[in-house]
Amino acid sequence: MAVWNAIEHQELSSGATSVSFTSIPASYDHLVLLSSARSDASAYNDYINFRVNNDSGNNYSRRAMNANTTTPGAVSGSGNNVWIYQYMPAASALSDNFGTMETWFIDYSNTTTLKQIMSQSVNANHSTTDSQWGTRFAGGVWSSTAAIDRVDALTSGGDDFVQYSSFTLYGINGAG
Amino acid sequence: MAIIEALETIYLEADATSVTFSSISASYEHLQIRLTAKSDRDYYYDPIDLNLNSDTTSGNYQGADLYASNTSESSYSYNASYLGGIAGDGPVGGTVYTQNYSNMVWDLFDYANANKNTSWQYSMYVPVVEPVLYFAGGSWDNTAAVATIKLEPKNGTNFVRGSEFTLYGIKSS
Repeated sequence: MAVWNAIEHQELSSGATSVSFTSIPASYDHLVLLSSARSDASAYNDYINFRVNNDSGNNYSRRAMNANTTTPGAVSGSGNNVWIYQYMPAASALSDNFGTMETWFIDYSNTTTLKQIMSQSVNANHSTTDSQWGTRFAGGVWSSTAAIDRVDALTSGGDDFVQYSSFTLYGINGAG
Repeated sequence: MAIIEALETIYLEADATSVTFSSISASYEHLQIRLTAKSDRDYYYDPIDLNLNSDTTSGNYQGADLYASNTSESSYSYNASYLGGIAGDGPVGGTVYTQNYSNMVWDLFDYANANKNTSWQYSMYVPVVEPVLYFAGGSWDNTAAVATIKLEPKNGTNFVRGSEFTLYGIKSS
């Protein structure tokens, strides 16, 4: 049995405010989302956020180590209505640069535990100026025991993911 | 059908000045390199110089690093063609850690997409008495498909014997 399985790949043919994965089967142990994305927000950095199962309530928390200056820091939040605030380049960043992100949804179909996320992202803009680049390593909890069957990726301010942004969702099997 | 396929493993039976993956197929969505490596630099660590498709113009590359060195943390962004650091062959606190090789997991995203610069992120660890841990990334200001990846010690002369590098292709369907 294959460990990694591609569930769905989406590459945007035009700008979109969100990217959705729906009807996610519960048959895997974990989910992994790999993305190469950019936003059209008027900024150097924008955030990729998630909602799961269409839950727009204040049910998401996070803690992250991040850097976008020469002084790294940590941020946290609870009672948020989106999940995870990962970096991606935006309209002011170098043309053709897309941000990288790997996100794990751990034990996503287990109905007895709150759902956890682990995520890493980089916006390696061609700039050494503070706040024009960023790296972030984050984790968080969705305060629900429901199995995740839908994941929506969103920009932070309702801007668009630009054309060619791509998102691939994988299902990860355990043994047996 | 396997989603992740091992494309090539290079194991150094003797010291080598560089390691090159060439003629990389464009048929995958992403690439991953896993390495365990050490430089012969007479210092406790050594960055890895990176060269994609024979582009030796350092300013075409960008790095963004978040790292911890011993008990300190730091971060910075730079226009240059190197990655983090691996263990060197020099002393730390008077001790040379000859058996300590560094490890790295390096993901290159959408490397064959002609509409994007190739971007990457990696985790890397230098296991010495004052260890260094990286979470970092970078990009190459070029939309060409990556067909060749060449790695060299930045300050040392060689990757030392026993260093190993494996290239994987990751599919999206």
